[in-house]
Amino acid sequence: MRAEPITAEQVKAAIEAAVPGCRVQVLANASPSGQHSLILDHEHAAEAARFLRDDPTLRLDYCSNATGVDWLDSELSEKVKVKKLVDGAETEVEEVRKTKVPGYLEAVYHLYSVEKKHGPVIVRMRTGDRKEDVHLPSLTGVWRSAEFQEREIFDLYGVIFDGHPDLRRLLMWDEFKDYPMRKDYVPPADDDDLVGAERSGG
Amino acid sequence: MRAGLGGVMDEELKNLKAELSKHGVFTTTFEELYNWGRKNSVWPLTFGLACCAIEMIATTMARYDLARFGAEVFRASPRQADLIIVSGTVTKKMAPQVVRLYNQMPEPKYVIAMGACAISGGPFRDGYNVLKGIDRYIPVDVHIPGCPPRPEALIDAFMTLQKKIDAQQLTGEDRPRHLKEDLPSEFPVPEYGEHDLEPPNNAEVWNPLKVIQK
Amino acid sequence: MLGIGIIQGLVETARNFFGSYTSKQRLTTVQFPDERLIQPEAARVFPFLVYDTDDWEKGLRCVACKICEVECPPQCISITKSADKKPDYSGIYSGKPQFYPEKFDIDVSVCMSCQICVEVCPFEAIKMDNAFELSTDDRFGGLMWDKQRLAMPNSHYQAIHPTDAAESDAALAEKKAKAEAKPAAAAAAAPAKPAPEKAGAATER
Repeated sequence: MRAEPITAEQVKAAIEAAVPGCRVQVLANASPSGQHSLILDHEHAAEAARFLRDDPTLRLDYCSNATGVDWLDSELSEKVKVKKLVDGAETEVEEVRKTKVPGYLEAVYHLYSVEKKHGPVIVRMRTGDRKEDVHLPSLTGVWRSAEFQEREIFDLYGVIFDGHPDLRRLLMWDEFKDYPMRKDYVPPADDDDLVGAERSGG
Repeated sequence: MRAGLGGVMDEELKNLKAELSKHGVFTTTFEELYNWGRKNSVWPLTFGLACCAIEMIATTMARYDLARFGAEVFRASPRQADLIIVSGTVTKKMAPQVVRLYNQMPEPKYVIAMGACAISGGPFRDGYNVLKGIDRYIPVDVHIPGCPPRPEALIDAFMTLQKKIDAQQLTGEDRPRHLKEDLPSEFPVPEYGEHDLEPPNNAEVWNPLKVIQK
Repeated sequence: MLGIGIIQGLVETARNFFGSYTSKQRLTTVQFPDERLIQPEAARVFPFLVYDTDDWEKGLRCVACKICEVECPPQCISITKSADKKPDYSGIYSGKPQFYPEKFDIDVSVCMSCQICVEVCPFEAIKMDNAFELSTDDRFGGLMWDKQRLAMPNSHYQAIHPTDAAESDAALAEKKAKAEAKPAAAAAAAPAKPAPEKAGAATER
C-alpha cells in the first residue's frame, strides 16, 4: 500500500540531516505534474546520493534516467521605480534594469524506488558556467545505470563527470568536437540539401 | 532509366526467336542467359538498421515470401552477397561502415535504399547525426519511398531491380559498371571529421538536382 | 521424455507443411504480384490533391493556404501561392474566385505518411492515396512530385476511401449550402440595403 507521497521538502530535510554541510535547494515545478526537484551542491552530491539509495525509508535504488539541460546566458529585465533628477525636479521614473544571468549546464536525475515502489525523486546538479567550469561529480558509483546516461550528457552537452569510470562519447564519434544538444549548436551547412533549400526559400 | 533493349538488331533477334520457338526450338543469347541467371538469384546482405528492417524481415517471412524471387538466403558476409538493402536511418557514425561493407561486396553489386531515411534522411533529416541519404556515398540502384514501405513495395522494388538487371547489355557503351575497367567499384570511405563527415558527400556519386529558385 | 519439446515443434511444422497442400489457411503466402491482399479502407501511403470535374488544373480544390506546408513535420511540402485568383470552375466555392498553388511539390522521399496534412486541410483538398508500388531508380525525377503528378479526381478518392469520401463530400456540400444560405437570408432580411455584398464576403472565409 502506498503511503503519503514523499514531498521534496521531506527529502531535503532528510538529506540535510544525514549529510552535514550539504546544501539542498528545492526547485519548484509549477506545471500540473508538480515534480519538484532538488538541487545538490557538488562536494556532497555523491554522499547525498548514497544516502538516498541506502536510507531505509527512501531506498531510491533505481536511477531511471539522467538527462542534461542547457541554459543559455540570459538577461533579466525588470522595471524599477527610481527617484531621479529630471529637469531640475526630483520625480519617480520607471527604469528598466537589466541584469545578466549567466548560463549553466544541468544534469537531472530521475530516481525511483523499486523496493518501496515510490518515486520519482528528481535531483539536479548545476555547473558553474557553460564554458570553463563544466565539471560535475559522477553518480555512477551510486547508481550503475547512470553510466551510459552520463556519457550521453557528456557527448551532447559537454558536462565532464569527475569520477566516471569511462567518460567518452556515446552517440557521436570520438573525434567530434561540438556538443549537439546545446542551444547554440549550429549544424554543418548543407548547401546541397534539396528540400531544405526550398524550405528556406533559396 | 533505359526502357529496355533498343535497336533494330534486337527487333530482328526477337522475331527470329519467336519464329524458332513456334517450331519448338528454344534459343537464347549469352546476354539473356547471363542476365537471367543473375537476376533470379540475387542474394542480399543481412543489413537492417531501423524500422524498415522489420518490414524487410516481414518480407522474408511466410506471407510475402522474398524467397520466391531468388533472394533465398540473406548472406551474413558481404563477400558472398550481391545486394545490400539499406533499410533504416543511416547515422553519420554508421555511414563509413556502410561504405566499407559496400566496398567489400564483389561485383556485380546492387543497392536498394529502402524507406525515406535511407533515400534522404526522411523525417529525421534535421538530426545532428543523420546522414541525408545513403546515395551521398554509394550509388543506389532502386529507391523505395515509404515510411516504412510495405513488404509488397519491397518486392516491387526487387522486381524493378530484376528488370534493371535484365536490361543490361554485356557489350557496348551501355554495359554495366562491373564490366567497364575504368569505373571504380569501391568508393572512398568517409572519415570522421571534427564537425561532420569528411567529405560530406562523394562528388562522383552524389548528383543532386540543382533547384533554380525564381 | 527427453526431446518432447522438439518433437512437438516438429509435429506443428509438419502439420503446417502437409496442411498447406490441402488447406488454403495454412498456405499463408500471398503471391505478389499475381495475388494481392485487399488493403483496409484506411490504408494510406502518400498524399494526393483532389480535383473536381475533369480539368485537373481548373478544378483543383487547393487554395494555397499553406497550412499543410507549415504543419508537415518533416517539411516535405513546398507551395508557391499564385498572385492572381482563378475562377471557381467546379462550383464548390460558390462562384468566388480563389487563389491557387502555382507550385505544389511534395518530396515523397521525405514524406512519412503521418496524414497531418490531410487532418489540417480546411478545404478537403489533400487526401491520402494507397498506391505503394513506387520504387524507382531516379530519386530526383521520380520522387519529387509536382502538382500534376499529385492531382487525382474526386472519383479516385471515392473509389479508394468510400466512407471518408462520403463524409468529405457531405462536409463540402454543407459548407457550400451555408455559404449560399447566408447572403440569401441577408438579402431577404434587408432588401433595401446592399447587404448581400458584405454578408457574402464575410461568410466566404
